[in-house]
Amino acid sequence: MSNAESSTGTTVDLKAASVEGLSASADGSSSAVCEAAGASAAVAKVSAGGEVSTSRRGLLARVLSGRASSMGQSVGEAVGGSMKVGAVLGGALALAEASRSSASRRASAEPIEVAADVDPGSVIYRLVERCTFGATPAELTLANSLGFSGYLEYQLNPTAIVENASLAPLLATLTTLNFTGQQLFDPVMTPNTNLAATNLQDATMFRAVFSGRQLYEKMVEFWSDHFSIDLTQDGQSQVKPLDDRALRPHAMGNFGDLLRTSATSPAMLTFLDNNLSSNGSINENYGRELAELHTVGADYFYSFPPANVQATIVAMTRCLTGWGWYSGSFNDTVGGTGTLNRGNFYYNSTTTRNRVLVGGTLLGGVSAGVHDTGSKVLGTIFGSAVIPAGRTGAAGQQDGWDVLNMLVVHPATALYIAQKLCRRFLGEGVSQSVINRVRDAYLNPANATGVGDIKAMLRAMLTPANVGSAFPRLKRPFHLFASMMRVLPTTIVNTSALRQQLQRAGHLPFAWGPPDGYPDTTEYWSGQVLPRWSFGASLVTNTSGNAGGVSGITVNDVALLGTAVTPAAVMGVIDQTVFSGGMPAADKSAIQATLSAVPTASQKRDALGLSVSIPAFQFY
Amino acid sequence: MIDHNTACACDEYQRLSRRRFLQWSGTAAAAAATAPAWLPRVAFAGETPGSEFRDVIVQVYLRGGADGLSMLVPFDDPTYVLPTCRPTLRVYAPDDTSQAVGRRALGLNNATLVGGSRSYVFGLHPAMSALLPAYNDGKLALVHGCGLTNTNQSHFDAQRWMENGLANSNGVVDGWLGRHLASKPPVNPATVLRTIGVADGLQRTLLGSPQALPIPNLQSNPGAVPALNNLAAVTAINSGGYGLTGTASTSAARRTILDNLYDAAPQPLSSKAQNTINTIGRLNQIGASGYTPAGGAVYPSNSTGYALRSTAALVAANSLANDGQFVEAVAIDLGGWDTHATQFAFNGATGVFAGGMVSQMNILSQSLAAFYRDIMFTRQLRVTVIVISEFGRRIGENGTTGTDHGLGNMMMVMSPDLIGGRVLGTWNGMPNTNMTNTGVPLTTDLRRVLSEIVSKRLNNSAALGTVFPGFARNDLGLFA
Repeated sequence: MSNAESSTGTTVDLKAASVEGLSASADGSSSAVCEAAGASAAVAKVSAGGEVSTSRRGLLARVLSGRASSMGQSVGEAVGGSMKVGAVLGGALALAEASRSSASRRASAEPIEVAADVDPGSVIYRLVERCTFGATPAELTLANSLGFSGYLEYQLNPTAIVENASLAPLLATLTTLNFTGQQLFDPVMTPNTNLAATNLQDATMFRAVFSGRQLYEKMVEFWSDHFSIDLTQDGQSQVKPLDDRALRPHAMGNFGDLLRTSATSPAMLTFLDNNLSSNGSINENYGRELAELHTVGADYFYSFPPANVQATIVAMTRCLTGWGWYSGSFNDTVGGTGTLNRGNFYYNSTTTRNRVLVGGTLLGGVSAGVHDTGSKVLGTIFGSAVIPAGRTGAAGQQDGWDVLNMLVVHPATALYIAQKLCRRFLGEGVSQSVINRVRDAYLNPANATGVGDIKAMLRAMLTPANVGSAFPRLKRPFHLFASMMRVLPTTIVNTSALRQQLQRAGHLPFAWGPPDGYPDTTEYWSGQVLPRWSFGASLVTNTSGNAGGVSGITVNDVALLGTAVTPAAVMGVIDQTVFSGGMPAADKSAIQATLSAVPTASQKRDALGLSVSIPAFQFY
Repeated sequence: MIDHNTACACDEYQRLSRRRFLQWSGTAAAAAATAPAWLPRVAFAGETPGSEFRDVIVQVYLRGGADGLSMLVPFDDPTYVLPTCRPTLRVYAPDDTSQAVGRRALGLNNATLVGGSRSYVFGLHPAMSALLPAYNDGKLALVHGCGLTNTNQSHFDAQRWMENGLANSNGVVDGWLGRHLASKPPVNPATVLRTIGVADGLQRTLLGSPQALPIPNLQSNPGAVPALNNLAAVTAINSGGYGLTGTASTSAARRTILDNLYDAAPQPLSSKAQNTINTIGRLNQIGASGYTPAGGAVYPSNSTGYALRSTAALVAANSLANDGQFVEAVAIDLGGWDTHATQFAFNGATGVFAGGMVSQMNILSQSLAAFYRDIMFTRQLRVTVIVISEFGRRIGENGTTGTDHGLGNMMMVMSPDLIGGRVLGTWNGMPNTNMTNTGVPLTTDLRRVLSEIVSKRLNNSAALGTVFPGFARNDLGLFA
């Protein structure tokens, strides 16, 4: 109970309040905040004695419990100019500029050792939860020191974030991670192609758990779902790693770059059959999904008459004929010059049949995939745009670029991407007005990278108001498992058991069969409860030499709980470590009741496993 | 019916949101959410266990849009026989001695449909010969030109609509089978689980059902991951079967704590937790690890074979004394049917068709044949199996010896009570122009078949208006 609270006797819960309103009246007084919030129903009262008066059971108990007081504290301290939440909200815009230098300082600073002092109900806590695969006390402390927009800008500038020292050695164990296509196809260097697949999955898991560039990694995950490719299909183990490597640089860049990268990715060319499509013998698989899944979306695309849709699919597919990749299996290599490596994209024009153009240079031969140089009418979906006939030679590839570029700037693409992004980060119930604002940010030509700027969308989306009022989201299994490993002192030496657990939970990275990517709905993911519970229980079983559990992964329970010798102390450590002090009281006492007066090590581990299995930890 | 538009995202999510709002508003005392009628733990009075034993319904969904024209072949259709129609994929007439035996369809009795001024004869793809016993016993029926009106040929929309049981039904969340189960109390009020989706997430067909769980381990290789058909694993809590892992001695206690704590979790998580806790015990009781298929049936060693073998164990357990019906519906998915390229081709050297779709047809027919032999022919248990897919494919083969997304399709129904051994539906031939851009004609609404099953085998004709809103029942006469 802080002095600030005691003196006012009443504080406010900003969680459902309009934080934009709060920013507008940043004088720090509670009553002004209440009024600015403009929604009395959204204000939780705290009694004069400081006890939270509402029932704290259920989903948001973690968010709501106990720590409502510190919000009052931070608002009070805002007046004093501290970098606490209230001050940050008050001066969000003013801080935006200053945040860059602040972020850089933090990036090069020592690891943070102090415990977080961030209200688990605060908007900054929520921002960290949305931006990461699990809020750790250290990340919260960092965010609190940077402020809301400071932390957001910090995460939006991933290359400036000095990586966690534990990440590089883990990535270094993945021998094929940086192999070229030529190396991945080399039977000596990559005798087991499955290794390339598991290396990529492992890298994805390591980065989610250990990287400091959390928002960036979440964007990589988002685009991996968006441009989903099933790594387990034939031949993908060698080319999906190349696809991942090519997409990653654009994850926070520009959507157009992502789309063009995906369209020329050997993995995507194979996955959706565009490498098989050629003049007079098209395969429309990619053409359809390009519109339906990657750009304008099904709702828009199929709002047109079926004949029009079909004509557009055919026209787009014809524009994209001749796009392929070198897999080393061509049967005609006569007449070419230069070197074409396996796993390289090529464009094959009709005038150079059995030849490959790479960067305008004629190289070795191919046996299929010839470009269609006829005229194509893209249909009313694209304002009846016509791709002219007669673009021969290298110029024919412009047909495909034209289609992709038209799709990138299409307002329906902006809306579809904005909708997916907002649902991922803010929840399924996100309002249309928020989606529209993010769509508008996408379409703004004044963005740093022009139309399709991903950072502009993230800034428009992750505002204090939007984050503060965001719907709770059920963690998908990958997120849940990563968040457990992030909050617990975890060492990973072998990942095969982890991969198996993810597979059992139905969320092994890059293993979703259809091209629409892993689902993003509570409806889908709430069914399998058992793998959620079992992962937590297994994770803490394999500690201090105990058998079982997730082999290859160790949680240092002794370091965490060894010095806690009473039930209350054990639960206190768990609460701080796992929930940053926001563990729901009922859950805490129920688990505490399982502990003896002097808890055994085994009991402590069980308590830890239960704590990461309770409802509150399933949501973010 | 749960509707996105009227319920603002799915109903379950709305309850999540409401809980959140009420808590934030500090008026949690008013949080008594109105539970839909189908929520679990609703007591139904007046039903005696076993007093009304319905068929167990098993849906096998061929994800990706299976090429029904290759499975049930109209080998004498004037369009089909055009050299330009399906130069690689064509399956020839059973009596066409100019072709290798392995390239000819399997002849079927009662497989002629009269359309317009002529009749059309159908035969099975040779990769589906395992289905002949069921067909010849009159327990398998094939309906051609079947499906649901679908204006856009998107996998994802077509699957959603078909599983909704509503054509072009944007915004509806729940499935037709889910609505059936929700509108019908369980035979045994003590039932802990009414339906299983053999999947990582519950299939849309089952959404809306009470006591529904996805259990993907059903289809795991028992040698690799403990599965329902290797339930010895379940009794050993630590082994990773369908049980809570961790310290074995505290497993039961931990389960109780989670059970209690999840009472307060938002829906649907709370119900799923409850179902999970209950199911752990029930699956132990069934002990499917000891399940021996009857009649010498051999399920193939693939995920579909495991899934149907496990389903058989569950169905057999339904007949256990003083227990009544346990699982009423099982949904199984079989992917790999989106055959845009290299669907299959005849291999002159081996004398058979080979390719991705041939493998899928083998898996499907062998699994169904084992289930038929085991559960239907030998045990004579009451089951209805349906095999559906979101759409058929185009009439003409595309440029990459595959087929693109089409419309009408073949659907299968297998049941001991079926008036089967017949090809049903309407066939008026196929257009012979623009064949690579035209789907197989859709002549029979899938819901004609499904509503007959719901009425005659699931004993729920009273709720047809809920299960298939706006659809007028018009039976094909599959059952007496």
